[in-house]
Amino acid sequence: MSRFQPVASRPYAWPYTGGWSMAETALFLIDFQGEAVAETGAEPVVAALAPLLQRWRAAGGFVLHGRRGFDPLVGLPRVTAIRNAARPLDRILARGSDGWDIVTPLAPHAGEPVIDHAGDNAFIGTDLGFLVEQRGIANLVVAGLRTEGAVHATMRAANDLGLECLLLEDGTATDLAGGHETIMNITRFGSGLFGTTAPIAAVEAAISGSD
Amino acid sequence: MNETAETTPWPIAGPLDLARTALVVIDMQTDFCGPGGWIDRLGQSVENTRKPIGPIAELLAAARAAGMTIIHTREGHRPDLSDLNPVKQWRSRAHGVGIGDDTPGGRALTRGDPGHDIIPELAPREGEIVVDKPGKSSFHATEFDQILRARGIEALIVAGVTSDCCVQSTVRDGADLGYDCVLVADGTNAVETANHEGMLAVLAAHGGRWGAVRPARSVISLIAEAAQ
Repeated sequence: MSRFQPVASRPYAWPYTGGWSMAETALFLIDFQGEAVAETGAEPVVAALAPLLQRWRAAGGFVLHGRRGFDPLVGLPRVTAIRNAARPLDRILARGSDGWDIVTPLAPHAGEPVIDHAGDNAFIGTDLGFLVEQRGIANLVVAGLRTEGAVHATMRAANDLGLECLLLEDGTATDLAGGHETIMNITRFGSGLFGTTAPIAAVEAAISGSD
Repeated sequence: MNETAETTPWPIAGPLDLARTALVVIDMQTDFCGPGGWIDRLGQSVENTRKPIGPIAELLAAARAAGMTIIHTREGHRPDLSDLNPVKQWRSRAHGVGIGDDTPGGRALTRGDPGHDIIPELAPREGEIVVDKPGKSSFHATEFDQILRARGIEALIVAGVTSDCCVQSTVRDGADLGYDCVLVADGTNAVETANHEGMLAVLAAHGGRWGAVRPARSVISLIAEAAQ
């Protein structure tokens, strides 16, 4: 399998090991669901990610999809349910309800795991950690909604697990004013305390320049 | 008007039940807020991370007087570093002082090193639980969740440092797991002021969906009221 050069990312070239291949790397698309895309105006983000997804698949890369929602048979934890019901936007939806599906341009293909998670951190109450471990994944390229929500929570948890994360700056969106900038700064500070960030084009360039 | 973290009710599911509420004080260790600790040795200021000491001391006094469950956490690694993942080790070295490395100033974030201790002003007392954690989230690779469930805890009062790292990871995971969290606004801080302020703005968004944010005096009043 091709080895790729590091991605031109900040605050250091990702991954820290100096190179990567599809064998130990996953592209994780988090919660590109209809309602979240509409609320955050993320249609351009979806359009920008679709070509990367296509290239990733063509290169034989592993793709993971996050899909936030609760099982209507189970519901949410009591406190979470009360807080969820009180907010007009950024609602955790019941699985199967309107706006819960992943949008068509980024829809999962057969064989790509979909992680149904009820909260923000997609490692909680799911097999995500187990899947990543079983596949021998060391690196995650992360895109998703919302930047300060599931994306950041999941990257924090991935970081605690020792996964080397790259967040796509133009592959994530939020409707929270200032939220994008805050999360980029918190991700990168302390010499990359929670990982690195780069534009989608930097990952595409690294894939194109394989040796 | 939509709720924010400052206005959203806490507790949200009924009156404060002190038997089901824990005070969680995160990582008030010399390495983060004391002289000669990791942050200090990195050449960064501990002025910000020492600001919460007063409010936390008052919270601890109130929680002790009320007989509440008190949990202190400490971030750090086993002396053999078997629980230090290679990415974290590499980044800390890139940052200037590698976690666990032998240096004249000690071994940063390593269990048994003096820098790993909680600062004397906030030292745990007998009967208070101390959780040693290798990650940012108190729930990662620890007994924290088991301890909370064993004690029947449903609500968390969270304070400590740093607001952009371990405090935020713990509040987020706590909220996902269904705990009713209140973050003590003046009981937390970060090395970088912009991160602290940005983090509070994030937590205030969308109706305070990770829980509430309150000043220490307001939490202390609630505790005193519930203890009567």
